[in-house]
Amino acid sequence: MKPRIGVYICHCGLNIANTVDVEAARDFASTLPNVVAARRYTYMCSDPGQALITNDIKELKLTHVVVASCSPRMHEPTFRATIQKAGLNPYVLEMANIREQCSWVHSDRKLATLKAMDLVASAVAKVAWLVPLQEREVNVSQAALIVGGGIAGMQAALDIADAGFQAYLVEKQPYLGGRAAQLYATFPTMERVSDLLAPLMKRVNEHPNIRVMTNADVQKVDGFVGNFRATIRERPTFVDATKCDACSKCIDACSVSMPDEFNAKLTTRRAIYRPTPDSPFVIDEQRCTYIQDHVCLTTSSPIFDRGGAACVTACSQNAIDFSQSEKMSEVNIGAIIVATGAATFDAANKPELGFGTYANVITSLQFERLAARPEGFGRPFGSVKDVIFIQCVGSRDQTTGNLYCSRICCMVNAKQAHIVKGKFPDARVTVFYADVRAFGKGHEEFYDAVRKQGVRYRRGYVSEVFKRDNRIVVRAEDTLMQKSVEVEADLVVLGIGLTPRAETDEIASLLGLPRSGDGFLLEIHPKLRPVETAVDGVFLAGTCQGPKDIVDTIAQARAAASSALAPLCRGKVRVESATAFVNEEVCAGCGLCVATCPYGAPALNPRTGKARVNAVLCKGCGACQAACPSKAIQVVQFTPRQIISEIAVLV
Amino acid sequence: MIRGLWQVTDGDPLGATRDSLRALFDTHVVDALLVPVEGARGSIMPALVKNATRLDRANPFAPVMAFNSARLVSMLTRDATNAKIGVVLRSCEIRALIELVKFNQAKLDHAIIVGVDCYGTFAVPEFAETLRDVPDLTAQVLACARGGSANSFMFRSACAMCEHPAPSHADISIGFIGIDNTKTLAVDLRDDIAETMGIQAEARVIALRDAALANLIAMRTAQSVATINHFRALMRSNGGFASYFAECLECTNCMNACPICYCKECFFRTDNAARTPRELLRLSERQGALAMPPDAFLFQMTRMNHMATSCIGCGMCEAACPHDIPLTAMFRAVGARVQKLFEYVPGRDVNEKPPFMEFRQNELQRIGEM
Repeated sequence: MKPRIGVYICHCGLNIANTVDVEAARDFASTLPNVVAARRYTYMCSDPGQALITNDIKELKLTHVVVASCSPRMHEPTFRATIQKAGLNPYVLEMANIREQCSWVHSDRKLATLKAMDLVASAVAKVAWLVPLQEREVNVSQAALIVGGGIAGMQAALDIADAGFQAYLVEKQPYLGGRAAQLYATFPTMERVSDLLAPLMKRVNEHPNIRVMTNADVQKVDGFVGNFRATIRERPTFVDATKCDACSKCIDACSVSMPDEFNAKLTTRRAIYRPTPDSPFVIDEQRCTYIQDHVCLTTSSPIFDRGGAACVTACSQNAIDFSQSEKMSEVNIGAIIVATGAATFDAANKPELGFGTYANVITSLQFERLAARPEGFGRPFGSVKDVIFIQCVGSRDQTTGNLYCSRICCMVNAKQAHIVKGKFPDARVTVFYADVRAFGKGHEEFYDAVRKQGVRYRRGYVSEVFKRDNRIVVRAEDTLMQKSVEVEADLVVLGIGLTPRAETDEIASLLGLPRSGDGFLLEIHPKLRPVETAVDGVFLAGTCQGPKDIVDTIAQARAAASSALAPLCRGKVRVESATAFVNEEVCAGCGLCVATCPYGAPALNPRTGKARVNAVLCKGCGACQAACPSKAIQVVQFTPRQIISEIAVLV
Repeated sequence: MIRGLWQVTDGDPLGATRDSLRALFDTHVVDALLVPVEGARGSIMPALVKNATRLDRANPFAPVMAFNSARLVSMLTRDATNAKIGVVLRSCEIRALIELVKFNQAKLDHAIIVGVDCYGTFAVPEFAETLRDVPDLTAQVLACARGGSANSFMFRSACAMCEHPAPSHADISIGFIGIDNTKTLAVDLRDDIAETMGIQAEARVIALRDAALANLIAMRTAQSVATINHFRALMRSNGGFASYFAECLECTNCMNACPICYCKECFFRTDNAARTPRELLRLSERQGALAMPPDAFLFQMTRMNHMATSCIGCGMCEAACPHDIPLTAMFRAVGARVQKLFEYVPGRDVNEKPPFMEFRQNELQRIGEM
């Protein structure tokens, strides 16, 4: 039977009709081979527009439909549903994009009309080759994987678990809480972060639907939305938490010393240590010489001497167990939430600010650690009379390559200035700022209150921090007074921004996630789809996607959880209908398709040596078809015959 | 590997080689041998020899290449048999074979590669013609190869710019360049094969041979640079790339002769690529006149696209072209750039993945980067 094609040209109000002579395009379409109806209408996507199509399908017995309108990303689902309602298979539709690819980008009416005609002719040439396809669904694994046990990951895990699904919460560090665990108080409400985190952690740890895996990482992920399979490695802590009585004698016995990352390198720690003030004891596998070099640094005892390590001897509870080994587990999950957080800008990259050179130049993160100590902020700086905060360190800065605003630092500095004023009301506190961005709820009010407290805000760029007569001097360009100023200080606090974690590449390549120019993980649409990624079923939460404060982090975590819950609740996901297939007689078994496929869909059959496709894994992207020299592997709806037909009328 | 010498008696290196190839059968190093054999009227074609007495006409030194035998090795090794198959190959054949292995078109598990030096080869018609005037052509070439210097033979253009006169990756290598091949041949053997065949390591350093090879490679490299530069100049001149293929018939001989072009069915021979009369008329209408056959250029570009990274420069495509389109220069010139771009050397290492098969996170980040 010859195809009977209907062509429907949309005016899109005046969006198309202003630039394209739609009547001429319609006349042209009616002359094309196999076209039995060609119509135009103001809005093809409106009810009367769709009715034109459904009527023709019924009365003229159309077999294929071409809609010349906007991008298929906009209305392909609409028109597929339209023709399906009228009894056609939804896949015998082809769209010619005469808006984004024609009327919107051209001004010459005559040429735009000719181009629209070409695009219509091309779609008509292709549509006749389209074949009906089956819609397919597969069952969903009723669980989610959350990568990162910070505040975002914990919140997302709770939401998944509260909805009745299993959540696997994987945290790289030996403790939950992430960056928030290092912080002292929140802005603008001045609540203790520990008071916020503790109940959250308790709920997470006790939730029957959450399996917490700390000191763990995700090694491998394959599969697709609804049916991912992840391999998780849990590293040993070498300390039996059920026996340990937290006496700390092991820590005293250990001689390995290194900066304590949790305390922002203000203090040192040992190879056996307590990562946070209230977490269980852990041995740092990478730094313990007994594990790495098989010799205890304290006792010089080699590893075959079982009791030889100093910590083992020191422990009265027999809690230290070097025989522990890493544990691999495989979990089936339907969705993945990435909540891997961000790093803080390394202030050593701005050497002119004196960080690392002068002990009383600290970062805002170090300030948090100092403030969180039981004795509160104050020591070890002795007199705290003049305190200077410098904003935008490592953010909005061409020289560091970080062009973005880190969003949190303005309010962090305001909060910390407030803390200084609270503890030392007579202190002279100055903030050097470029702009103050107090855009959140209650932020502007808080900033106002801090200024009323006597904190002095000076707009200016700090050019140098140096020492003169035993005092720190901050030299800056005051851009309001338009002159260079020098201010002496006892303490300088650098408002460091957030940067992508060094390990972002690992998680990005593990899951196939793209990154934005700033290096953070990329959401699929910056406005409309801020938590979804280019990979179906993988969602972003928290600062891995970009700098944000706790409120925004929680909001995004809950958004990510609710997005992840959609496939879990539904229990089924639709999988791509237009998938690849192999013509075995032509396949030479070279394996190019196997190497090229990002989804692991094709594999060589060991018996025949030919490629075969796991259609459930196939996304229909066509990489295999492009790679295959003989086109033995093809994607339905994008076969060479279809594409060549499409092109042939254009060239 | 053990480096040794094969003694040549009566000043007949070919005879000595035939004896040694027979010894491969006698010592069960191989059960069958793919080797160039002299046929009627002096033609040289590969044959799969099972009966060792038939090696009396084997001639792996004849300066002619009718076929890149990598294709035949593919045919012989795709499925495992119990037989150990020896294959006597030149460098370009071995390097093509390495590429075929990467594309699962051949297996080396049961193959014993016997590599031979190649001083250069004639195209088949020139070989036949030269043979009429110089009946002992093989001996002449062997004599010339002793010094490893320049020669006046009109070898194929691919050979004139070949930087690989000595074989690589071979289990057994037979060398006649830069050595008095009337007395000895230089051999490198896999340790176990040397032991089986009772060949001792030779202490005498074959320094002259190494120097001769280096000299030859330097001359050939200079020739290839000149040829590539000439090609590039031609591309910049009037007509450029498209006019290069003006005489292309789309006969697909080049594709059939190419050792690596491995598709079972060329896309251009399927209905997918067939033009309808309506399309042809419309193309003609747009262009005023349509060059026929219509897709010769597209065919050549597609072959280039598929083969540019793997092309080892054997020049069989050019030898097969009925209209002498200088395909070798084009493949060498384009290949040089593309291979450099991906830091890929075809035929270098069987474990080196072709660029298409390997994803590197940080390559070609900028659009248009080359």
